[in-house]
Amino acid sequence: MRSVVCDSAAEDLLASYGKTNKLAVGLLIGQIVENGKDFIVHLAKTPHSEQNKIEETTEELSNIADIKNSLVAEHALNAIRMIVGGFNILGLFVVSEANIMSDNSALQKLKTVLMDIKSTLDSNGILYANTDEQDNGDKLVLNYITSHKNYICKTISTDPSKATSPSPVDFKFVSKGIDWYEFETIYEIDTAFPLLHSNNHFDTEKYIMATIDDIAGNLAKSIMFFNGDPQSIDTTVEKFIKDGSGDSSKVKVTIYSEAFQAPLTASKNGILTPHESLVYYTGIVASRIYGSPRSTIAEIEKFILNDIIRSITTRLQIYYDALLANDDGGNDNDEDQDVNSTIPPRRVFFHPVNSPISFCDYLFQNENEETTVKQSMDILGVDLDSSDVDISAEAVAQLKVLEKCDSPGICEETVNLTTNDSGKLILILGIIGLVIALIVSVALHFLLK
Amino acid sequence: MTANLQISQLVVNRLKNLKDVCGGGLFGLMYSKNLIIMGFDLESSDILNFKKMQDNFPTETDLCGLFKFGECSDTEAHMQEILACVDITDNPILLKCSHKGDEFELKASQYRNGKLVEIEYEVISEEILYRQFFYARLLGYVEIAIDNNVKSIKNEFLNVRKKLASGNVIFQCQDHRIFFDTDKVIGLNQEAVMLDLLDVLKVKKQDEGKKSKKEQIPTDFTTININCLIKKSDENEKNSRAALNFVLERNRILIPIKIDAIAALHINTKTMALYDILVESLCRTLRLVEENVLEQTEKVSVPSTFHFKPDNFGHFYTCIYADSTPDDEKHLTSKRRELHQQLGIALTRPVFRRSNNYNFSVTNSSLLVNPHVGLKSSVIGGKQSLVQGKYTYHHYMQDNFNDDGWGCAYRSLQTLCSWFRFQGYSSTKVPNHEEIQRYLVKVGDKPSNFINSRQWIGSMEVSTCLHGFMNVDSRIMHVTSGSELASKGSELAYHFESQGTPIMIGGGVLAHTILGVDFNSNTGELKFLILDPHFTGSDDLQIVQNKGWCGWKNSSFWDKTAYYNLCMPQRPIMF
Repeated sequence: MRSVVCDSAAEDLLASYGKTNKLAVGLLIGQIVENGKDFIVHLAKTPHSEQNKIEETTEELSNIADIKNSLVAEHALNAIRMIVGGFNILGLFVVSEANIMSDNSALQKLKTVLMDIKSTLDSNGILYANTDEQDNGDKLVLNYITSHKNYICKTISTDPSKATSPSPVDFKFVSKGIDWYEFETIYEIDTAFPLLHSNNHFDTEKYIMATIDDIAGNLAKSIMFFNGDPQSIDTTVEKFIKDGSGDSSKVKVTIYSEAFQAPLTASKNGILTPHESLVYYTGIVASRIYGSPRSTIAEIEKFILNDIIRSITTRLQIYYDALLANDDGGNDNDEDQDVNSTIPPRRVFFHPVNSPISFCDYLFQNENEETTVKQSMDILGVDLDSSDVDISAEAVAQLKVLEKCDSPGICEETVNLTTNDSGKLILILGIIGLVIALIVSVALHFLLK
Repeated sequence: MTANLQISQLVVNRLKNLKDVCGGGLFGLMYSKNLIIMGFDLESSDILNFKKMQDNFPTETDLCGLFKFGECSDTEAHMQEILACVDITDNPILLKCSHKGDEFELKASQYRNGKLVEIEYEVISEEILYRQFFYARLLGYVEIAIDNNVKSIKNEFLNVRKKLASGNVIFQCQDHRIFFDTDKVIGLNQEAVMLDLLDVLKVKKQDEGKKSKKEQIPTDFTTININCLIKKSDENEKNSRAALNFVLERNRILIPIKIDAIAALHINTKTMALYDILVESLCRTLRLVEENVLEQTEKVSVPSTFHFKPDNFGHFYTCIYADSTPDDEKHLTSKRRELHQQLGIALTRPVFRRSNNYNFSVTNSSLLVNPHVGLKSSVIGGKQSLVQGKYTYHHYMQDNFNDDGWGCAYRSLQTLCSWFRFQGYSSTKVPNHEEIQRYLVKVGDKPSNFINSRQWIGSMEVSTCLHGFMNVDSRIMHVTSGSELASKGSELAYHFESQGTPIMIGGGVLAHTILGVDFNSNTGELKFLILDPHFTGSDDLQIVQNKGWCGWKNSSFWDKTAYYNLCMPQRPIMF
C-alpha cells in the first residue's frame, strides 16, 4: 500500500476551508520518494469562487459536478511553474460535507479532472510534471469531510482503461515532518543552437522550445559535485550529510558538462554552411531543490535536472506568452508594446513561513516583489510579505549586443536590441529637435533685430 | 640556477644523420632541475620556422635553444633572434654539431649572462624516455559561431580561449573519479606526482586484464586520456549571475571543434601542475584550429586534429587539416613537403598523411602489435635486419572466423596490410578472407566459386591483393627448395634495411611471415625471425613468444623438398 505523510498544519488548513466553503478543491503538492513514504508539503486551493479574472466562475462551488476542469488544470499549470524540481502535483484534495469516496459519479468527475491536469501539464513543454513512472498514473485524492471533521485518502488511476474504483492509501498527518535538505546551484548556458528559420513568433517559439530537449540531454550527462566533491550516486543524503564537512543546511552543487553538440549540418566533404537562424543563450538558471534524508544522490541529481529544465521551459513560455499577447494587442501604438517582455523573466524564490521548502516565481524587468506576493496568494494561497521574496538568485538578464547589424532585417528579431534602439532613437530625435529649436531661435534673434 | 642538460638519444641519432644543414631550433621540456631536448626543426635562410611550429609541438615542449653545424652565417644571423624567443629558460642551449670523418661530435653550451659556457650533457636512451615521460591527451568539444570573415573568426576564437583559460573548465581522468581543478586535485593526494597518477590508472588496468600477460619492454610512450568539462556553476565574481537570456542570430557558421591536444609530462611532475598545463594545451590546439580556419578559403569546413609521431622521432607533432581538403590536394601536398623539409625527413615516405595519424587506441585492441619485440637471437657476430615500424599479428581463428588449416596465407597478407596501414601508406582497412576472395575473382585470378571456399592462396595472390588493396607492388623471390633459403642472407638483410616491410613466404607448403634476419656475412650463419599465422590460441604475448609462434628459426625450419615464393612488398615512393 502506498504510504503518504503530510504536515499536520495542512489539517488545520483543510478545516478552515471547510468553515468558509461548502466545497473546496485544490492541489496536493509533494515529493514521491522511491521505496519510501511520499511527502505532501503544500495544499493549494483552486480559486473557483474568489475574485477571478474569469467572470463566469464567481459563483460559489457547491457541487463536485460544478468543478471546472479547465480551471483546475490551468491552476495546476500555474502552480507547477512555482514548484521547484523534485516536487510535483500528486493529486487533489476535496473539502466536502459528505464522504465522496462512496459517490461514484463524484469519483468519476475527479478522474476527469485529474486526467485534464495531466494532459495540460504534458502539453506544455518539458516540465517533468508527469509522475506516471513513479506512481503508475495513480493520483492521490484526499477528502476532508467537514461533517465528521475526518479525512480519508485514496488513489484514483488516471488511466482511462482502468476502473475508477479508488485504492486505499496509508495516509498520516504528522506533527513533525522530516528534515529537508536544500541543494543550491546555478547553471550557466553560453551556447548557440541552430534553428529552423521563421518570421513567425509561433514557429520560432516552437523551435526554441525544442532546444530545451538538447539542454536536458546535455545536463543528463553532466557531473555534479556536492560541496566541492564528487559523490557516488547511490549514497543517501543522510549519509552524505553525516560524512560531509560542508554546510549541511544548504548543500552547494557544482555542475560540469561536456559542451553542447548541436546537430550540425556539415556536408559530406565537411563544408559548413551558415545557419539561417541561431538561438544564442547566455546567462544562468538559479536552482534550489530539496531532498529527504532517504533520497539518493542519483535522485538529487535528477531533481536538479528537472528543476533547471522546468525553470527554462517556464520562463521561455511566460516570455512568449507575453510577447504574443502584445503582438495581438495591436500594432497601432508603440507605447503599448510592453518593453519589459522583451527579455525573458528572471527567477525569484520565496520561502513561506510555515512551509518546509521554497517556491519560485518569474519576474519581468518591470515587475517587482509585489507581483510575486500577489501571485503566491492567487496560485498557492500563501500570504507573503514583499521582504520574503528573495530576488538575489538571478540578476536581471543582460543585453547581449550583437556585433553585426550590417544589413536590414538582421536585427529585426533581436528582441533585446529593439528596446535599446527605440530609446536611442528618441534621444537622437530629441537632440535634433533641440538643435533645430536653437537654430530657429538664433535665426529669429538675428531676423528680428 | 641552471638546469642539467639531457638530450634524447633519438635527437642525437637524427642530428647525426643530417646532411647539408646549417642548424635550427631545439625543443625541450623542463622538469625538476633538468632540461631535456626532445626535438628540433631546421632553419633555412629567410623565414624562421620555429615560431609557427611552436604550437604544433606537444604542450610543455618549447623552444629552448638552437643547434648548428660548422660556421654557418645564416644561423649566426638567426641565433640572436632564436635566443630572444626562448621563454622557458634564462639559459638557452647551443649545440654545436660536426662531422669529422665518420665521427659525429656534439658539444653543448649554455648562455649565462650573455656568455657561452660549455656544459656537460647526458644522453637519454629510448627506453628511459618511454619509462620517464608520458603524454596526456586532452579530449573535449567546443563549438564556435563565426561570421565568415577574418575579424569575426579572430574575435570568436579569442573569446573562447579567454573563457576557457579563466578557470571555466575542469579536467577529468577518463573513466576515473580523478579531477584537476584550478586550485586542487580531486581523487588524489594533493602532493601526488604523475607517477602516482599512472599507478592508480594502471592498477585498474591490471585488475581488468587477464593475468600472466608478459610485460613488454616499452617501445612507445604511455598515454592517458583526460576529458575537458565546462564549469556550469561558476560562482566567482566574474559571473554577474545575469538571468538566462537569448538572442536570435542569423547567418552564422557553427564550427564543431573536437578538442584533441597532447601534453608531454615527466613522471615526477606534481599533479597539481597539470591544470595549467592542460589549459595551455587547450589554448594551443585552439590557436592551431584558428590558424587552419583562417587559412581555409571561401567555404569553411570541419577542422580535424591529427597527431603524428614519425618513426624514431620521440615526440608528437600535431597538424590540423580541413575535412574538405584531400591529402593529395596541391596546397596540402606543398604544406607537407615544407614540413618534411623543416623537420629533416626525406620526401620518400609518408609521415604527415591522415593515415599516419597516431593510433592511440591500438593498445586497447586485442591484436598484438609487434610481438617480436624483446626476442633474442643468437647468431655469433650476426647483424640483425628487421621489419621497420609497426604491424599487427594476424593468425588462425581471429575475428571469430574458423580458417584453421587453410587461411594461413590470408592471415600473413593481413599482417602485411596492417603494416602499410600503420605506416600511413594506405587508409584501407585490413581485408577479411571474403574480401580477399572477392577481389581475386574480380580481377579474374580465380573462378567465381572461389568466394566463400576454403581454398589456399599463394605468394602470387598475396602480391595481387597487396596491389589491389594497398596499391603496393611486390618483388617475388623464388627458391627451388627450402635449403636454398640459407643462401639468401644478404639479399634478405638488404630487403629489411632498404624496405623494412614484412615478407610473406609460401609455396609448396605452409605460409609464414618473415620479420627479419640475423646474418653473419663472414660465417654465413643465418636465422629467420618468423611470425607464424597457424597459431590458434588467444593473443597472449607470453604464449606467442615462449611457444615460438613468433621466434627466431634456423634454416632447418624450411622444408628441404618444397619450393618457396617470397612476396617482398616494396614501399611506394610518396610523402
